[in-house]
Amino acid sequence: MEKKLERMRATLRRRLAFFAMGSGCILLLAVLASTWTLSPLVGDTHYADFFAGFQMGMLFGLELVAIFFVVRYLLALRDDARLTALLLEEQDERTQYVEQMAGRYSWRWMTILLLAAAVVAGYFSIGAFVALICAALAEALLTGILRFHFNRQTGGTD
Amino acid sequence: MKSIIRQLRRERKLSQEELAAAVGTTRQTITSIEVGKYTASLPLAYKIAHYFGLTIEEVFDFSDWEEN
Repeated sequence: MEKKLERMRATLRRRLAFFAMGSGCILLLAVLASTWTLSPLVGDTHYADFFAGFQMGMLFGLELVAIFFVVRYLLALRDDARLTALLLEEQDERTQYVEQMAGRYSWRWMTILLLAAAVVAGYFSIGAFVALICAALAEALLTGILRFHFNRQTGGTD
Repeated sequence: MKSIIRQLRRERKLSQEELAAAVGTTRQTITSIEVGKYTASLPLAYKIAHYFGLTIEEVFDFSDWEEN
């Protein structure tokens, strides 16, 4: 168990660095966006304001997520009981099963929804149609690559 | 799949939380296994059986599976 905890500590330190860097980047983007150094390329002022507000909201939300994980991992690194609970939670096979099943069904429905949205969008905007078709194809391609990879990883030889 | 985990726990006055920590899983997973909503993997079934000093067949009831 001690070896597992030590590996978990190393993993959490890496994640902390990632989230701290992410948090810094988000803050930088927020400063640039609020000083209009980075502004949406929309001619109409009404839409430009809307997009700017939307982006700031997104950045604020992402910053909150980053701070949540930084605090969670810092507390786990300082307290072995929390670290053990986090380790068990992440390694729990039922949780992994739930995630696998959710992923398995979500990509199928996402592809169907993207294709349906592409058909509808095609009546209004060719740009949206192409973007949605590309997203559906990218998702299908990624799924195929991942299936091939995991099939090889778990496959045996005679 | 049915099991006698709950019965074994009660005999030993063991909480789900304690069993979960001992076999490296969560309390929710132990609950799901006890009520038969989730089938434990072979490694987890082995850990649980080993923890109680029994074999997998003694802890888990495979009769439904054998019929199918």
